[in-house]
Amino acid sequence: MAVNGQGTEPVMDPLERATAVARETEPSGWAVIADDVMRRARQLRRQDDPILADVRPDGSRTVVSSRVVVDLLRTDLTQDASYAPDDLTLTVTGERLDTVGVALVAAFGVDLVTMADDVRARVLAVLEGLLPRLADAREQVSVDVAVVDVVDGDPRRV
Amino acid sequence: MTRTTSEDAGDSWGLEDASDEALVRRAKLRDEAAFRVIVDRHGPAMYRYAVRLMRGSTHDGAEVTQEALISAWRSLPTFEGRSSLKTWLFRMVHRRAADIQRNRRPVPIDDQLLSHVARPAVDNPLQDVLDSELLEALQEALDELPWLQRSCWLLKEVEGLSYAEIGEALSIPVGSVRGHLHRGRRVLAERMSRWR
Repeated sequence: MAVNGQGTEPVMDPLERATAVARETEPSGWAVIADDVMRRARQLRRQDDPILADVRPDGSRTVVSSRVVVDLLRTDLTQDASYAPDDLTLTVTGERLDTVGVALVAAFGVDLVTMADDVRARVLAVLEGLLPRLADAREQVSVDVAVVDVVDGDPRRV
Repeated sequence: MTRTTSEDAGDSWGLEDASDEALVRRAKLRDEAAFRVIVDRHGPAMYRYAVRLMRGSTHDGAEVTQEALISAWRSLPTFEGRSSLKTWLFRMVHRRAADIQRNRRPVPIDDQLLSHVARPAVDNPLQDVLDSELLEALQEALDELPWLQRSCWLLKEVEGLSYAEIGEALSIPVGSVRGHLHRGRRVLAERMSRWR
């Protein structure tokens, strides 16, 4: 910090002052850029496998995108403060859902085995609501649960 | 089992308060609401860095920032958290900026571009004018710096990254960060000295 010619007021070094101004500066147009990023992100295609949901007696079929399944599972597995999903993997063979892999971050102190049972039950409930073939017990899906981290607090926030 | 069930319904509650790590977990699973929070939390600093790095051009800065964030959205499923999210995002910006810089011939700075950069209003109009001129002078001085000196200086002095974080963002050793910063600071101080 320097002092000006009058010796009365402190005057900041010019580089120091310019740096402070640069830190305070927000280039214009950010809101438009952010909206454009989100629009483009939504348009990006993800890996997508069709999963057979139902076959009617007349032979007409209903398939569900694996993206839809992952979105619904992610939403459902984010309702409990004991754990949060870290990864969800669907194994699909010939339009048939074989396995759901769930990687979880758990809250410290949670009984992991009980938590895994709860997660399996939630996953199967979502799948049965979405895929009538499962609800009719015509097919079975295995749910593999892996705890990949334990955190102190609500894993959805920390 | 110790269970704490949230009373909040829905899928996007309280995301603004979530840590970067929690947001990344959700965004990896293609949660757009979580990604939007990441964009709003880190995007403005990425954009500011990109504009200054790209010679004060808001057009180039916007392009670099958009490409960096889209690249981040694509790459999040493979993000392993070895560096912080902030450092990783700055690395994306730097790479995109370097790509554009490599494929473009140098152009003189357009002074008009700097006038598009907004600052919070101040009560002292004279100070505001002086600050704008200082900022222009700083940008001109920055433009004279070699690429890595400019990057290191901006990340340290404007964005507040540590030496280690800068090293990770630019993929260079910490010792090189110190060297680039030292030389950059010396040149900028000399260029700005006429404003004393």
